[in-house]
Amino acid sequence: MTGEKDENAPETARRPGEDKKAEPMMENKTAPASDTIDRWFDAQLGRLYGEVADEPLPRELLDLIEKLKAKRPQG
Amino acid sequence: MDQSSADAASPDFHVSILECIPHLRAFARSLTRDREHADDLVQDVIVRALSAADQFTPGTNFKAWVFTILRNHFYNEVRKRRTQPCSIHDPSIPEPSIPATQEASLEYRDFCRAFWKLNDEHREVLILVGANGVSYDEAARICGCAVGTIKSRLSRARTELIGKLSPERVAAASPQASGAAWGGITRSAKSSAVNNRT
Repeated sequence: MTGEKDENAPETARRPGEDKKAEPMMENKTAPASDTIDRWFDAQLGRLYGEVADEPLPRELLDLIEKLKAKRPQG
Repeated sequence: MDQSSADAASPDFHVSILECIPHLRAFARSLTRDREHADDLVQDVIVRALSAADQFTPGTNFKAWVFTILRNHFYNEVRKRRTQPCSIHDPSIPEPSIPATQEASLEYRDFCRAFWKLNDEHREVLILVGANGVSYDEAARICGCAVGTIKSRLSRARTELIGKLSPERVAAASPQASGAAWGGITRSAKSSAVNNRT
C-alpha cells in the first residue's frame, strides 16, 4: 500500500489537513533548515497517518457500514 | 445501539460518520498502537455516535465531535481495565509496512519507531494537530484541556521525537540541515516548549 507513495509529496505532508488553521508546530526562530526539518517531520507524520487511513477496512467494519447504509434515513 | 436514536439520525449524519471512519481508525491506532483494538474502538464509537446523534450540534465540527467520543471511550476503557497501553518495549508496537530497501523508507521506519515510543499524550497531539490538521482550539476541546497545554504538549512531543532520531537521520532527510542546524533546531524546540508553558 505504501510502496507506491512518494513520501515527499506535499499532499501527503498535510493530508488531510488542508483546512488547517493552526500555527506552525514549532516557532520558527532559526534558520531555513528549521523549515526543512518541519516539512520533513510533517511529511513523515502525514505518511504515518495516511497509511492507516488508507488501509482497507476490516470485515467487521464493512458489515457495520452496510448496516448503517441499510438503516440510513432517506434524505 | 439505541435504535431510536440511530434511526433518528439524519442522512447527513450517516454520511459524516462513514466519511470519518478512516480518520477514526488512524486516530484510534495512534492511541491504542494495536490494529484490532483500534478497530474495535472505532466500531464502538460509531455505535455511540449514532446513539448520541441528537447531542451533536449541526454546523459544528463533526470530526472533532467523534474524535472526542473516541478519545473519551479509549481512556475510560483504559481506566476500567486498569491497564496501560503497551510499553515502549512491547513487541506489538507496529512496524511500518514498507520494504526497508530505500533510504527514504529507512528514514520513515526510524521515524515510526520513534513515534510509537512517545507517550499517549504526545502521540495523540501529534496525530491530531500535526497529521490531521486539527486546530489548536479543536484539539484542546477534544483533549479536554487548555489551548496552551496543547501547544506545550505539541512542542514537547516534537522535541522528544526529534531527540529519538539520530542527527544523521534527519540531516540525511533534509540536506540543508547540518549538524549545527540540528542543534539549533532542537534548542529552538525546547525554547518554544518553555515559552509555551509560560
